[in-house]
Amino acid sequence: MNEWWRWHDPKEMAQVYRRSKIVVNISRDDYPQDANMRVFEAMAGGALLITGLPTELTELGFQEGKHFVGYHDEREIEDLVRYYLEHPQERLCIAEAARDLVLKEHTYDRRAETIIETVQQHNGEFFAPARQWDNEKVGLTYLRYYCSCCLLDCAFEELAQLRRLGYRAAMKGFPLVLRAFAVRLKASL
Amino acid sequence: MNSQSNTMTIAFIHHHGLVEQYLHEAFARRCSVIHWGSDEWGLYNVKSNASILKLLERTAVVPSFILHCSDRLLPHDLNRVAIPTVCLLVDVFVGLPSRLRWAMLFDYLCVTLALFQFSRERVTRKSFVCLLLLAQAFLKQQIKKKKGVSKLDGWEQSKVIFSDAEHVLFRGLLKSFG
Repeated sequence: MNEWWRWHDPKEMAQVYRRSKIVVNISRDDYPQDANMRVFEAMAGGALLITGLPTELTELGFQEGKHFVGYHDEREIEDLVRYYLEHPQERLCIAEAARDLVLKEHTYDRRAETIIETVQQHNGEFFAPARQWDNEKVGLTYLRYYCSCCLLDCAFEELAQLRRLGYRAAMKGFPLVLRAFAVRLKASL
Repeated sequence: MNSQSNTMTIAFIHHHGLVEQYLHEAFARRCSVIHWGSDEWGLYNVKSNASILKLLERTAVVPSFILHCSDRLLPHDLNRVAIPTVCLLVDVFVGLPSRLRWAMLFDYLCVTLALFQFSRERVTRKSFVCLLLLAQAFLKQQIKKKKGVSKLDGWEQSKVIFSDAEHVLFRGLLKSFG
């Protein structure tokens, strides 16, 4: 059983998944069908995944009963866990199929390949909407980024550049900087 | 995998974080990778708003594309660089509208989705020309090990700290407005 009362670092979590026969995924309340990182970790670790239905896993090529076991009501979980602990062959069959699929299709190597292939397919075309924007709009976009990351040094530099474009542009950026400063101040208290 | 990728060079802009590190390793197995990011791994250190054009002047090889995945570093002049730029958003449930706004500086947007359907609807509403949606991934090399699996997927977010080095508000404003 997972020690839920304390925090586990990634190294420990890997060991937990590797040791587990079954991993139960109960996704966040506001998005129960979430195909989160945990479900991939569980399947790649060789555990049987029991997760809520419906799940986005089915959109990604996983099948219920073949790669994972689903439940509609959390009250079903206990019986499912008991059943699959008592039927190791069935459990291992599903867990192995899931593991094969995750290791084949859902690795960082596959993601890297997909990104490279996508750029190659378009022969390096330029699609960025910002390539058509004026300097003020581009500057404000950068300013929003620096403010949202609380990079105040960069935000002030950006504001200075907007000021060179005109006071109107600078005044548009001014509230963003103020807000970022307030956030930073609050975090430091 | 296309053999063409073996001859590619990618400029990868990223900060610390396990997902970025794993992706970096995955790209490095396929092509050359120039890293622009923090110095936390002893790698090349870049200022958060450095000009991409100036960074490119310093590289010996012109990269095939620039891949960005960072909450701490957004180079200037992305809208003027003559190389395709790719924005990779990882686990974008928090602050998605804001991220999509600055993602428009990039030619391609890749979204690694934890909340697949939810994010897809919100992202596609923005009508990016070239959008690639990716599900979560797993680090194969690590999990295949029989013993001592050392790394798992995850996302680290550094705590905001008000450091002494930062400008105070009005000193910064003074500088901005000269």
